[in-house]
Amino acid sequence: MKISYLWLKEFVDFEASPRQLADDLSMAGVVAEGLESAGSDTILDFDITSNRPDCLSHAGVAREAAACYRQPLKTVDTKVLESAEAAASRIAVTIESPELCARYCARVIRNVKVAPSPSWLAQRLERLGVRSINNVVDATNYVLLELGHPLHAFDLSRVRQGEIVVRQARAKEELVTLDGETRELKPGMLVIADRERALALAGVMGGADSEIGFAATDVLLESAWFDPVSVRRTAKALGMHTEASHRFERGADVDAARTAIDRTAALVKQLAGGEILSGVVDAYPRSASRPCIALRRSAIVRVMGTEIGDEFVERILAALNFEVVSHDAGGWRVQLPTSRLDVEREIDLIEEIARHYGYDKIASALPAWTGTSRRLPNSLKEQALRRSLLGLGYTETLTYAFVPAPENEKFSSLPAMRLKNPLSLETEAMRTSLAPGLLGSLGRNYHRGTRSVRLYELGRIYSANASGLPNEQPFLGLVATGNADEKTVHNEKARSTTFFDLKGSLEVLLEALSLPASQVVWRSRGRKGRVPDYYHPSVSAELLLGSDTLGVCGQLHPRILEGYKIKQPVFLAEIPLETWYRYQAPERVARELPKFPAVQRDLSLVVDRDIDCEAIQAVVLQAGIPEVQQCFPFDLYFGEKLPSGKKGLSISIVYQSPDRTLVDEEVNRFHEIVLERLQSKLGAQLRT
Amino acid sequence: MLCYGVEMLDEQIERIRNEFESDTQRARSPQDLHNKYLGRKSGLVTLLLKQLQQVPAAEKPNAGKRINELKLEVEAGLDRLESEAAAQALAVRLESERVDVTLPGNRRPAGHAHPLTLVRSEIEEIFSFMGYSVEDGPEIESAFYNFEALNIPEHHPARDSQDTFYISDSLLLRTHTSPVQIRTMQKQRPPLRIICPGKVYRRDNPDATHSPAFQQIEGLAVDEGLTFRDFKGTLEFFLKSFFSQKTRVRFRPSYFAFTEPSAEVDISCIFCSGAGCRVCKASGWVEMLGAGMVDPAVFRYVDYDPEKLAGFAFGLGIERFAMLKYSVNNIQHFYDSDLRFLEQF
Repeated sequence: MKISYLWLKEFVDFEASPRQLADDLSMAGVVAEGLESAGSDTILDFDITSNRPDCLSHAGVAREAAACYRQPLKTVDTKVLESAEAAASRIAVTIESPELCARYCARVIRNVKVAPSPSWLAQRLERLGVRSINNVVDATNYVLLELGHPLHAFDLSRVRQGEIVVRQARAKEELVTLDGETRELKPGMLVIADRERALALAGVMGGADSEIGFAATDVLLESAWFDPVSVRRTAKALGMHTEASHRFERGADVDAARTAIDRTAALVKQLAGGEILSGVVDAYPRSASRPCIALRRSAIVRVMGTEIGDEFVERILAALNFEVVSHDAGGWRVQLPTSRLDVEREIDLIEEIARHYGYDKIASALPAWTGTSRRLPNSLKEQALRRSLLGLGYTETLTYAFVPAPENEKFSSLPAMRLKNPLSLETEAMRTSLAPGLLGSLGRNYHRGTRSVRLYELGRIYSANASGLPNEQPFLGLVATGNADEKTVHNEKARSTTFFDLKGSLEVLLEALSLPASQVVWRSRGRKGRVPDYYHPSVSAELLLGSDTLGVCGQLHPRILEGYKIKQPVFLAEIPLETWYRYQAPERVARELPKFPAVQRDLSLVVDRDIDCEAIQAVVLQAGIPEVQQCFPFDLYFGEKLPSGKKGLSISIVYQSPDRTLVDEEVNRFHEIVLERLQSKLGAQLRT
Repeated sequence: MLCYGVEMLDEQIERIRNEFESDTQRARSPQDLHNKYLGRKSGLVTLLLKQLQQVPAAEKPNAGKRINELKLEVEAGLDRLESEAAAQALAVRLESERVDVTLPGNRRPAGHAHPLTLVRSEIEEIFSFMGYSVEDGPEIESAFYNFEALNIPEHHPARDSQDTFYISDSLLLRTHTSPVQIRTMQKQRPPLRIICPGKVYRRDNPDATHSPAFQQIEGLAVDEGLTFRDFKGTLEFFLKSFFSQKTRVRFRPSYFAFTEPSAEVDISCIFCSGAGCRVCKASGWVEMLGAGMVDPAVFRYVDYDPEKLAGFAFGLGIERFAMLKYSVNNIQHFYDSDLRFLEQF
């Protein structure tokens, strides 16, 4: 809301500079966002909160300034010089929808001379952002800016049979509005009509047909009160927002309808001549009287924590147009004005007093507290994951939760929730996977020239359950590409990221949450693993703990990467955190340290290529030798020296007894048994 | 036959002592000197000891004592020489092992926490010091929890300031985390101190200061006897803890449908200390939070007695705090995943 500093001063005397005025009113809750000089004047731009339509005018802001500077508020002159003929002989008003129109005032001014406005008026309007049209229309806009009440002027000759009907629109009824648009109306929308057709959209915009042109001679002025919700619905449905609708939907002042029409009529006569017919045709079917409410001293103290003197309370109430009708030991009874529909309750009055008293004058205190405080149930686990991820070299990223629908479909078969009003098709669907965001992030860094990227995102995915209700699940996603180790002054050769870097990272994360990493099984697609097809079919795995899926991970399918124009392997892991969080880690029980030394022996084996390490370990560990403590691979070889279809795998076996030192002969015997088992069960041979 | 008078012996001892002293000044190896003075056959001290047999019996104890003193002196001198030599050899070796400590450390680069996560944790920590528990709720919310229960009925103009993404007529992406406060009040009886961090959504086109998704922390305290003074004190404590004790805090009246009285909370601009700069638009103040005393209407939705209880609520954008704390000039940086940005944290 643009406010002229000089115009404001016509209502109230004060010394404050525009800057000071802006600061002082801001501290009372009427916020000036900016100010700019315009000739000898300064225009202040106020950001009026939606509860204060009364401040959408110079008189309204002046009332705040008057309260602030303890000055009287001057009122506008509303004397009207009327001619003998009665307005009622020219116009009748019928309100068919009193629930949507509480009051409709009409005045008639005949024989006006419509002309361009004088320059003082045109300039004043234009400095405040209102285009000058002609002296009659400008008079209505001037009063709008002055008093805040929206008015409309009709060309009376276009109102058939001299009757205004305020009614709901008929289905498919059409109206060409002032902006030249043909609007298709619906029942529920309120129109100003004559007996034949709609003339204007009530409280939103006039119609083109009845607008005041330079040929008009007789003017019908309208000053009404329309239901806020109805105006808001109509304007929204038609995609319109006007100075009038902005005020009506926030709640106009029903009493001001009369003042405003008189003020406007006088101004029209002053600017365009003519005769104001006597009387206001005032259809006022629904009385808008406002209640008296109690304001207790004790309530002020209870909310604000401090006493505010009676004198101050009474002065502010009076300055803000709240009339104290009585007072007693407990407090006051206050008549609420029609200009402040936002004030309905005691607490609303307390706020009015507090904001003029000054929040900064109220001393601060820290409240006592005897309760406890809690974290979110999984917050410690989340912290443990985040700490480990940082150590593993993964940088956290955050991406938008909405993605293009086809991206979701590439990475998930979950039914997505879709936005009805997305910003664009690019942001239409709620993500059902973290993959689109993570790959987009990785891709952007890659195309900026960063070839080694490790990112993680911890966030929710959203899907619709069977009954269409939203289901939000926390997920962790990791992406990695490029080198796991860079070439440096200490490191002669760079080393590319492999599946096993990702697997190692996931093992660290499992341990960070005390999940039993050694019991987690890794199943590739060829080994009954359920791995989605956007992963490389043979370099990917499903992680299982018992029957629970702990996630999927692996290299991405080259076809997926084509879409991102990435020409190097990319690895992805997707972890459903609820499953991880659900796992109850057993209490840790420390083991006794071994009293007798362990013996480590190696075996270099040649086995069929598709015999997994896990199978070899199982044979060793289940060879019936309790002294076998551990079995792990330390070398893997594929090459020309081996028959085709074979691989070389060297393993170390650790033997240890809890009650004696093992002697060589014993260990040799164990080792032979193990080798025999490997030979008979897996066809393994010793490599020579 | 020579006569070995005491005087003559003294002369010899003195000569050997002087010679040993000058030998030790010169760089001769401890082994050579050992041979020269203490060698089994022809060491000078050894020879002197052998001559002791020829000393008259009466003078023997005295002469023996003096020769022995010389021997001990020589031995001590040789020990000293040996340890000096060893120390020097070690020093030479260690010097040869010198590394260039200005070369970079050998490490795998660590990852970086997102600046919004850092700021969120810090804010959560400050409030947990004051006894606030953390609460959580769905991001896809019902219109009831997001608006109606917060005293914003349908067609209320306050909905204009929070342009909303809708899934259906009744489901939407929450525009604030306030619904979590309602859900918590429905579950728990006062006294209550909670904060609700989380993602929220508003249908704003992205630019330097707007993002259609951002993170908020909202807080709520409900108890008997809480007043505007407690509200001010709590937020002052928080803002001074987060920024600095020197930060000045200002409360301005404002409007939110679910608080009354409502306030915008400003801090003195941390860039110009209130003198006026580009960040604070020359005002010296930067708006940080929206807050206020809980509106009694909200208490009625959750069946709390507004005549007995009072509370205050506040809401802040984590991005805004992060932008100020780290001098970030474009909110898009937080969602762009650019490692050149993220690696600064």
